[in-house]
Parts: sequence; C-alpha cells; structure tokens
Amino acid sequence: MELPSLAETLRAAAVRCTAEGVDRSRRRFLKLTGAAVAGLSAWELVAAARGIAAPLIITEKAEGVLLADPSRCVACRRCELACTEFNDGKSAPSIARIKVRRNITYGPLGLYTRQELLGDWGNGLIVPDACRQCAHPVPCANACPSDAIVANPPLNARVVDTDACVGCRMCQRACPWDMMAFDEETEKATKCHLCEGKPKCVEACPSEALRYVRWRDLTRTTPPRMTITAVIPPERTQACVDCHQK
Amino acid sequence: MTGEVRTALADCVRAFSREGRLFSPAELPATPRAGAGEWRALVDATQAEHPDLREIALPDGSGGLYSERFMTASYARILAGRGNPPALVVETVRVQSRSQTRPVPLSLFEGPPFDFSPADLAACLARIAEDPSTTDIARTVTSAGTVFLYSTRHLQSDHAAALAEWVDVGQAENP
Amino acid sequence: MTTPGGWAGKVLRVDLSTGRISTEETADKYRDVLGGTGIGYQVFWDEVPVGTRPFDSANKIVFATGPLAGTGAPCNGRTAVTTLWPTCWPKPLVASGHMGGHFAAELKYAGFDAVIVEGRADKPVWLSITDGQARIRRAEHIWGEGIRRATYAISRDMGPEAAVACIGPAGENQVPMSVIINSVSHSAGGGAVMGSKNLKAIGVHGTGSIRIAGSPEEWEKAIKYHLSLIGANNQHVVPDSPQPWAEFSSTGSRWVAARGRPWGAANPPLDTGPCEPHRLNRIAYRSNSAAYFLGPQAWKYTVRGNGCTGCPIRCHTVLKVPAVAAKYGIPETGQNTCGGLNFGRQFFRKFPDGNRGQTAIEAAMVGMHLADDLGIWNNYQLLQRDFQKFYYEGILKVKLGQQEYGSYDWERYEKGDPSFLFQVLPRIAAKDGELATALGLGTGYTLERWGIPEATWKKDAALGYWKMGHPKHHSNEDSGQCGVIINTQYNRDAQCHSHTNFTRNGLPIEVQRRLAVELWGSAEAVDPAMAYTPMNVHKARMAKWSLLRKELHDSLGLCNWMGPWVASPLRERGYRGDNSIESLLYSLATGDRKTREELDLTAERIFTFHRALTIRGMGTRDMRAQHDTIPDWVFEGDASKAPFSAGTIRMDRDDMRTALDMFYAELGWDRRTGSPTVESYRRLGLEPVARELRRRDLTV
Repeated sequence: MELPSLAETLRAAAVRCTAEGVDRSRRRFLKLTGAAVAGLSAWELVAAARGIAAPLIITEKAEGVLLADPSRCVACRRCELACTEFNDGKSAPSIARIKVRRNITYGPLGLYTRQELLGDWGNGLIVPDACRQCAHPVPCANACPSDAIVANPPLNARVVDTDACVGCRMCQRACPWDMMAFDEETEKATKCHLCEGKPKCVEACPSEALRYVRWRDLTRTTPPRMTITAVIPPERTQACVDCHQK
Repeated sequence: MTGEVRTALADCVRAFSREGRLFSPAELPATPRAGAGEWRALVDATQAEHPDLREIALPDGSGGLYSERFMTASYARILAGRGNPPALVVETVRVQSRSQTRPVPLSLFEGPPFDFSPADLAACLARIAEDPSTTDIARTVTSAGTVFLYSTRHLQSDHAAALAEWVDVGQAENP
Repeated sequence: MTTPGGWAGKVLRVDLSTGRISTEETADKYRDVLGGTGIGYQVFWDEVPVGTRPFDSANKIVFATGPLAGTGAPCNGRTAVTTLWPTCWPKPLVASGHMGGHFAAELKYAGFDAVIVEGRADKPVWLSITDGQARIRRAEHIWGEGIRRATYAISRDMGPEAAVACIGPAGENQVPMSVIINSVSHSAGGGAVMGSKNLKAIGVHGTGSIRIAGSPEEWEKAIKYHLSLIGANNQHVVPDSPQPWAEFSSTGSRWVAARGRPWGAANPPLDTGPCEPHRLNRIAYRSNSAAYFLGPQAWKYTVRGNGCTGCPIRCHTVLKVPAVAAKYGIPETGQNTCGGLNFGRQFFRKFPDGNRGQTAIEAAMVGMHLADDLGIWNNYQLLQRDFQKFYYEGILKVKLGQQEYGSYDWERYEKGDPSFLFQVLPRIAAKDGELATALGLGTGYTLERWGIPEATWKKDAALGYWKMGHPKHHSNEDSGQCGVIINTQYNRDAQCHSHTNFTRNGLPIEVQRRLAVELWGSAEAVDPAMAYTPMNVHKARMAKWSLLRKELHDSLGLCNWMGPWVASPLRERGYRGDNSIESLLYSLATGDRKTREELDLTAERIFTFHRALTIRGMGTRDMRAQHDTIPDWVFEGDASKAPFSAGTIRMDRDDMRTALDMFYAELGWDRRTGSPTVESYRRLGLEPVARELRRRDLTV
C-alpha cells in the first residue's frame, strides 16, 4: 500500500484535529519494523501503516509551562478550585492538576520523612506543584499502555485523551512529581493541559504566585516527590531503540 | 510634531502614572528638549488625541502630566503639591476632615507620596502655625502619643479628638 | 429530581455514648435552613431538651458548613459550631462559634455538610472522617497533648491533607474559656464541650467533589464578578494611604498595601503595593492584619498572608520573629488574625517600648504560641481586659490569697514582660489555682464566684462588657444605634460584621450615604463616625439587614467578616458593590434559584429560629426586658458630652427604646416583648416552633 504524502497526511490530521476538538492529538504511526527511520525528523512522518497503531512517543516540546513561586503562595487553593470548577464544572481539588493542598500543612517532606517543616506548621513556605510538561522522554505518556497522553498542538501541552484512556493509572506511577490526577467519577486520568494557553490557575491566584511562561526544562532542578513504579510497555521501548538506533 | 511623537508622549505619561509619578519636561535629558512654545503645542495636540491625559499646575508654574487611567486627580494633586509642603498639608488635612470625617496622623506625611523628612515636616508645621490663613489647622494627641491634625472648619475639637483616639487606639482594640 | 449542587448531601451523626454512626440526607431536614448555624439551631430545637447543661451528655455540638463552602466562591471556608455555650451566664443558652481554615472544605469533599456529635465517650476518642465514612478512634495517646502535637499525630494517621479540629488541655479540662482549633490558627468556641464528651479532635479528609449546578462559564463569570468587587479585609474599599489609583484614602482602613510596605520576612522580601483594585491577582497583598494590629514594625516580620480555603483576602498573617526563639523558647514562626494576634499583648497595660513596639510583637508571638496550643479562648478580649481590671484594682490581691498571689511575678507583669504569659496561660488551661479557675469560667461566672455584682461591670466603658458574660462586639463605638441593636440579640458576643464592614470601609460619608439610600431606603441610615443622630427607621432596616446577612453567611459557609459586598473599590461603579452577590452564587452553585429577597427570607427564618431557641431556653417571652439588655456604660460611659453631640458615642435611653421598637417592627415582632409573633413564625414556615412555644406559654 502506498504511503500518503506528508502534506496530505498533515492536512488530514489538521482537519481531524479541528473536528475532534482540542484534546485530540495527532496520532503518529510508524511501521513496526522501524525501517525508513531517518533520525528524529522521521517522527514527523505520518503513515497509516495497515492501521496498526505503533506506540506514540511525544517528542515535541511544550510551548509553555507553569512556574510557581513558593514565596508568594498563600495557601488559598483558589488555583485548585479554578482548575476543576472552570474545566470540569465541579469543585474537586483532589483532581486538580496543580497541587497545593498536599504541601500546605507540613510542606512536601515534613510529615513522614524529615522534620524540615515547611508549610503552615513550619516556616510558612507553601510549595505549589505544577506539571513540568516534560520534554522527551515524557514519563507519563511513555508509561501509558493505550497512548492516551498526547501532545496537543499548538501548545503541545501533554494532555490526556479521555477516549483512549482505559483508567489503568499507570501514568500515576510514572510521574516523578506525582502530578497525575485520576477522576474517580469518570474513571479517567487527567493532567494539566495549560487551558489553551490561558491557565485558569494563573488567573485565579490572588498573590501572583503562578506564572505561565515560555517552556523551560524544570525536570532537572526539582527533586522527585515519588518513586517511580510504572512499567514502560515493551512496544514503546522497542520504538525507542528503533528511533535512536541508526 | 508627528503623530509618532504624540503617541510616544502619551505612552510615556501613562508609564509614569503607573509608577505613581507626574511627567513634565524636566524628566527629559537636557538636550534635546522642546522650547516652551513647542512643548505647549505638543501637549495640547497630544491631549486632544489622548483624552485620558490631564495636566496639573506645579508650583514652579510648569505643568505636570498624568493619565487618569492610572492616576486619580486627588493623587496628582498631592504630587503636584509637594513643591509647597505647607499648602499640601493644609489641603490634605482640610479634605480629610471634611469628606473622610477623619483627622490625619502626622505620620501620613512621612510616608509616600508625601515623603517629608521629620525636619521638613516640623518646619512645615511651624509655617502653618504662623500663617493667619491656616488658623483652622489644629492638633490633637491620642492616648498612645500619636499626633493628629484636623481642620476646625470641618471638625469640632471634641469630635476630632475622639476620632483620632478611635483610629489610633480604638479600632485595633475592636477588631 | 436532580441532586442540587453546592451541598455535599449528607449530615453525619455520631453518638459517642453508643458508638453509633449514622447519616441523614441534608435536604430531608435542613434544606430550609441551608446549613451552618441553620442546621445547628434546627438540631437544638428538635433534639436537645430545655435545661440541658453544656457538659451534660445530652448536649450536642454541631459542626456545620454550607453549600458554598469548598467551592471557589470567594470568602468561603467557614464552619459554624453550635452548642450550649459554657460561658453564657447565668443560664447557658444556644450559641455559635465560627472557625475557618480548611475544615469546612475537607468536610464537604468527604461528603458531609455537617457533623452532629452527641453523647459522651467513656474514654478519650477522636473522630476520623474520610470519604463518606467515619470512625471513632482511640485518643489516649494524644489526650493531654497540645493542639500542635495532637494535630501532628492525627495528620500522620490521616495524611497531610487532613484538616484537624482539635482541643488542647483547656478543652480537655472543661475550662469554659476554651476553643477548638483547626489549620493552626482558626478557632471557634466550644472546646470544653468537646472535652466533656472526651472528644479530642475531628480529623477530616475528603477526595470527593462538589457539584456546581451552573455551567462552568456562568460560574467563572460570577466568581470573577464577585472578585472584582472585593476590597481588603472586612471589605474595606479605600486604602489607608494615598495611592495613585485611589480617589480617597482613609487612615484606619485595613487596605494597607503600599510601596515600601513589604512582606519583609518573605525570602526574598516582597513589596505589597500599590494594589490597584482591577488587579485581581494582587488581592492577597491588600491586607496585613499583623501590621494593622501590631503596628508598622510587623511588616519586617511578615512572611505572608494565610486564611480559609478559597478566600483571596488572607486575613491571617504568618510572622517570623527570630528573637522569640532564644528569648522565650518558642518557634520563631506563628500566625493568626485580629483576636489571636492581640491575645498575648492585650494582657499588658503597657510595654517598655510602647504599645506597638518590639515587645508588643513578642507578646503577640508568645500569646499565640501558648493560647493556640493550649486552646484557650479570650472572649473577644474581655479576658485580657478583665485581667487588667482585676489586677490594677487590687481585686486579685483579695481573691487569690497571699500564697497564690505571691506565686505570680507581678513585677514582670507590670513591666510588660511577655514571659509573664507562661505563668498565666498554662495555669488557666490546667485550672491551676484560684486565678486560673475563676478566669477560665468566663466573666459572668467569674463575677459570681467572686461576689462582684455584674452591675459594676456594666458601668465600665473601658471594659466593654455587655451582658450574659460577654463583651460588646462592634456596638455603638462603631455604628451607633445599629451596633447597639445587634449586640442585644445573641447569647454570647454578637459575631456580626455586616454593619461594621460598611461603616468602616473608608468611603467618605457622602458616598456611604448615597449607597445607604439604595440599601436601606435613606441616607439617614448612616451617620459619620462618632457623630450620631437620633434613631430612624432606616437604621433599624440596616440592623435587620446586618443580622440577617450574618446568619445567611454563617449558613452558606461564607465569611461575615468579609461580607456583605455592598460597597466596592471601583470608582466606575460609584463604589457600589452588589447587594445580591449571595443570591447569585447560591443560585448558581445549588441550582436552587433564589432571589435576594427569597434568600433573605431564609436568613430571617434562621435568625428567628435562634430567637425561638433563646425564648425557650430562657423560659420567658419577654426578650425585651430579660434578654435584649444594654449596659449602663453605653448611656453613661462618657458623662462629659450629651448624646448626639459630635465626639461622643454615648447613647440615649429613650432613643434606644425607640430603636428597639423600630427594630422589632421591622421584623414583625411584638413591640412590648421583642418576641416573634405567631404570625411571623408562620410567615417564615416555623409553625412547629410556634406550636411548641405556645404549649409552653411562650408566645404573644
């Protein structure tokens, strides 16, 4: 079967994206054999190879990211409330995609680990946790067995495709900063999608503790919160080898 | 004077207003600077195009510009009045006594936007005390030792004393 | 029928005597009283017999929040705590306390609008509430601990996201002057009632959600609208110093943000001002309670603001004062708002470096550290004023006996040494000695114990005692007749701020008067501060509005220290706020569309319910003579000036008689007794209440 041209495929993908709304991402397909891969740019090629879905691997960087200033955070939780009320229509901080509550009382480490008390009972410092919109390799996306975490253009925020999500929660085990949320009512994972470039949390914060900035890599400068227990599906690891091996 | 210059002036005035400052030609470097006549024409033309721009007279006879988008007339008056501290203090005290029903603590004048040094403030108060046109400016001292000024035109002394005590001591004891 | 939004839907009932835990549907019994104090009053009316005393196992303690708590509605997060009030003298009656913090939100996320605690456990327990469930847990390991350590222990059990409402040794020892504290600094009275039930704490953690009935777009729009009208703490809408954006400024306003006033202990420091009112991302910088109450020195010690879930104001201040660690052996960080910040410092008549200097700040830190860990209440600062009066008038020397009197270092006290607090506060919590025991009872019982006639307290204007063991709370010093009326209505100090939020908002009197026309019918509703005019019907309307809105906020889970929002900082609106904000948010959140008038009617129902409870509890319908009393100092405190002259807050007896006449008329109550008529009960859907009162011959 003849592969469609890049242009046609891209146009088709664009049409599909527009039709399906903002939470869909392009799906990229790659022949399983890994042939005809020509470096990273090969990931831009889209081929509907016999309809078999090869693993999605996000390589684009996100355009923006949330930056939180703990010295300004006043622990009001309006960010968590805006995130869920204005996106999901319910007040549900437990699925907020920016996370503050867990750090308010004793700080990120103050209760079970060290007695370095931050937070309300410590030195007062509140650390808001925001999604780093990790660059490739994206831990939550790579852990997902159903390719349900995709990069959503034009911002390329990493978002959950709720049609594809099967609710296995593997992504929650994969994020080193424990940023994945899981909505028990819909039984789907959910994560920060940057609200189309106008994050609701940033708008809601009464102390200017949150900013939405040009993306920069925050993964190497912020220690992990959680031990990773996710398993990367073998098809994905094979795709990694295929791509990187030349 | 091109439109570009007018826009630049308007933007400049707005920027200054946002920072809590009046704009006048004195803010520009010595050269190049427009002559008085040209400046007047520029200001008039700019105001016509940008109606949020206002002008207020400064003690030296020149005019200060501000944008009412970012600064109120009351604040501009304070800034403009800093060149004549006694008059500024008198006006502030009279306005507060009349419309806010409040005496004014001396400490107000030591903070922004007044920024009087204690010495300047003392000199200012001495001038006011001597001036026959400002005999309405009186003082009251609270139980905490804080000095307040008020205008007898608008506040009786009993009332001013009670209000000063309320503001300085009473309100904090009635949280 | 669609489940309404807003409410969590269930009320939890815990019987500590039997261990039985059950739930009820909120809508079944409590829909018409909304939540909060409404649920509290309903429970007490239906279930707690007259004559029950606060520490009887038949007393209950109701923790209730409202449909707006836990949402993004600005200024929510409040829990009403309703019980038979231990300091209410001479006969304990039903009253409510209010606490903020994170408790209300977590309770909602756990699936509950309220918790009714009944009975008495036979040994120390704590209550663990998680999603839809509750368990009674053993508390021997934390009984005797301060609030700080007990909270820590429970948090390790439930996780850091739990909100823990806890009593300290004061509550455990059934000291009537005790509180329940959650989230470090948020207190409500009633600690001793929990102690009497052997209930150390309630820990709650929820992962659920609250449905918002309106669309996300509508809700977002409503919230942004409300935020646009918000001022600073207590809804003060004018800054306290001239700001570029402001037409007015008013010394004494709580809008204190300005250039050069930083959160000095933030790292690095953060300048607060100017906070132009359209910049909603800077609302949290507008207020600083520590700077307001402790003076400008507090700026350098301010880490940040803090407060209740969802509120942008942050009326609590986190302070870091390094000196206190070495000097007093307490943590360098502490936090609280108004009463808590004042707690330590108000004991002392003066400090070596003045009342707003370094020592005062240290006293504040020591006071918070002790009081908020021991869980002591201060009865809106009457405890401290009583203490000063008892000491300086030589009463303590007489009442304590030589040995106990000598066990206190009075020299240190007179000097203004904050370390003195270590001698007093722990002893109050432990009922250790006559001083501690007597003060811990609450003023009414203290006076009775020491044989001091209440009448002497009622003559002392500086003391500010009102009646029934409690002080004034925003009375005539604030709002003339309106304030006095409000202070007659409750069984503890009136926790009403609707009126004072308006009168102190900093707007010029002409602007306030213009707004008053729209709100209460005439410019004559408001007088300039300390220049009162005789009573008129519009002031009565303002008093009624103030009280109804207080009950409404307390039942919705909103904060009456911030609302109502009838003035705003917006010049383009003529500084007008919106008198219908509560109805807008309530209707959208719940889907139960109520106009402002309809919601105010519900508030009137709740307020009248409290009246009925008071009538039944006192066993008299003659509220006017027996309950709605005004202390002598209000009329005689300032003998030098006549009422209605500028510069005095002195009121006139005849004028206040007229004031009560008009107030009762506004409510449709009987003029002679101040008792709701049968018709007013009926109008408000309280026929069962009227029937029972009639059976007891308590109707008019």
